[in-house]
Amino acid sequence: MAETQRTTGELARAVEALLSERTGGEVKVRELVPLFGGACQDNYKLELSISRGELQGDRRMVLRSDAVQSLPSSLNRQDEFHVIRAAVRAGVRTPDAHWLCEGLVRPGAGAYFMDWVEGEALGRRVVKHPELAAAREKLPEELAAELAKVHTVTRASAPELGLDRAPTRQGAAAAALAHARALSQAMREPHPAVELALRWLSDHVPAGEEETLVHGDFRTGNFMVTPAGLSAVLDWEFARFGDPMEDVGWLCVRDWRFGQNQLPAGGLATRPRFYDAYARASGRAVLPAKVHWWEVMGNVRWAVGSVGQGERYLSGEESDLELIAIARRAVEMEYEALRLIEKGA
Amino acid sequence: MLERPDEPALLEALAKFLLADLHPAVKDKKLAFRVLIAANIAGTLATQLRTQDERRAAELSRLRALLGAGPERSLRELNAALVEKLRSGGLAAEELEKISAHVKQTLQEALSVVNPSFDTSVEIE
Repeated sequence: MAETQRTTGELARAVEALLSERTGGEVKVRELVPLFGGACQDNYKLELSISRGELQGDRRMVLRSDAVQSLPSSLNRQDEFHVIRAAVRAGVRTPDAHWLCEGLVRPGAGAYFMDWVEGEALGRRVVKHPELAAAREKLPEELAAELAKVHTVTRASAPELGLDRAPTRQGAAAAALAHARALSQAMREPHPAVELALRWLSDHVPAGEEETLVHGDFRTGNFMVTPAGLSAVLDWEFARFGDPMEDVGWLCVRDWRFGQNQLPAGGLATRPRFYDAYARASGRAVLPAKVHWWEVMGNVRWAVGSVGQGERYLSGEESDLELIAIARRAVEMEYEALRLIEKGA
Repeated sequence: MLERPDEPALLEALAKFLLADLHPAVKDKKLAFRVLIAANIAGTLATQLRTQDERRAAELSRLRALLGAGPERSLRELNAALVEKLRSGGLAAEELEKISAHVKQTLQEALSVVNPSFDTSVEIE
C-alpha cells in the first residue's frame, strides 16, 4: 500500500490543486501534519489559506480519508460526510464537512475536509479535570439538546443518507440482536456470559420503536469540551437509522463513566437529570426499560467488540498494544451486562 | 532451573520498571500511554499466574457439576458445551439461575485479576 500513498509534500500539492478548483480561487497549504486517527481513517491537520468563497481566509482543518483497513459496520468517509451535513442542517454542534472527493490520499479512498474545533475529548479528563468543572455543570443539558437535534433527522428529512447496510425492516432492536449474535458466534473462545446476556436480550426485545438518525457512538470521549462547555459532537462513523433510545442507553454504558459510577449518564449526570433534559429537549419520553435494554445491548456489543480488537492484533493485521490490552477488558463489560440484568430496569 | 526468580516475580519487576523508571522518561504522550498499558499487562499477568491453578480448578469443578461432565473434558470444552446449552434454549428457570450464578462467580474471579478495583456490587449507581 505504501507505494500508492502520496508523501505529505505531494499530498499538499494535490490538496492545493483540488481546493483551488473547488473554490475557484487560490488555495495554499501552509502546513500538513498526519494525525493519529482511528482504525478506519487516515487524518491530517491542515493550515490553509483560501482566497475565495465562503471559507475565505486562513483556516485550520482536518482532512479525513478512508484508511486501508476499515471496521465492519463503520461508515466510509462518503457516507460520513452526508451524515455530518445532515447533522449540521439539523443544528447539531459538530464541525462542518466540506469538499467531498475521491482518490486524494490514495486511489479509490473517499475523503473530505472538516472544520477544526478546540477542546478536550479524553474521557477521564472530561469527567474529572478541575478546569472543566464549570463546563460539567451544564454538559448534561447541552448533550441532551444536541442528541435531541440528531434525533430530528429522519429518512424523510434526509433521503440522501444511504445507511441501509443492516436490514432494519425487522426493527433496530432485532437487527442489533441479530448482529451481536452473529459476532458472538464468530468469537474464537466460548463466552458463556455473552450467551446469557443474548438470551435475556432476546427474551426482552422492547416493543414499539421509533426510527430516527442515531449517532451510534454518542458517549464521553466522543465530544469536545472547553471550560465554556460543549464545543462539538464528534465521531459519526457508526451513525445509522435506529431507535433514539439506543443512543441514550449507549451514553449510560458503564465504561463511558470513567469511574464516576454515581453519574451513570456518561460520568456526567444522574439518570433522572439526563432523562429529563433529553425529554424536555426532544419532546419524547424516555422509557427506562427501553434504555435498560439498550444499555445491556451496549455492554454486550462492547464486550464482543473488545474481543474483536484483540483479534485484530492476534491476526497480525495490526500491532498496537492497546488493541490486545482492550481484549483483556471484555470481562468488565460481560460482568456489567449481567449486573444490569440482575438489577433490572 | 529457572525457579527463582519465578514468573510472577519477573513480571512484577517488569511492571515496576515500566511504571517507575521508563514512564516518567517518555515524553511522547501516545507512547507514554502504551508504557502504562504494558505495565498494567505485566502486573495483572503476575496475579493471573499466581492465582491461575486455584481459579481454574474452581471453575472446572463448577462446570463439571453444572454439566454432569467427567474429568476428561478440558475447561475450554466445558465452556463451549455451556455456550451450546445456552444457545439451544429450553432451560428451566432454576437451571438458568445456577448457570448465571456460576458465570458471575467466574467473571468476578477474572476481574479480581484483570481489574481488582472494578466494583462488582449490584448497586453501584
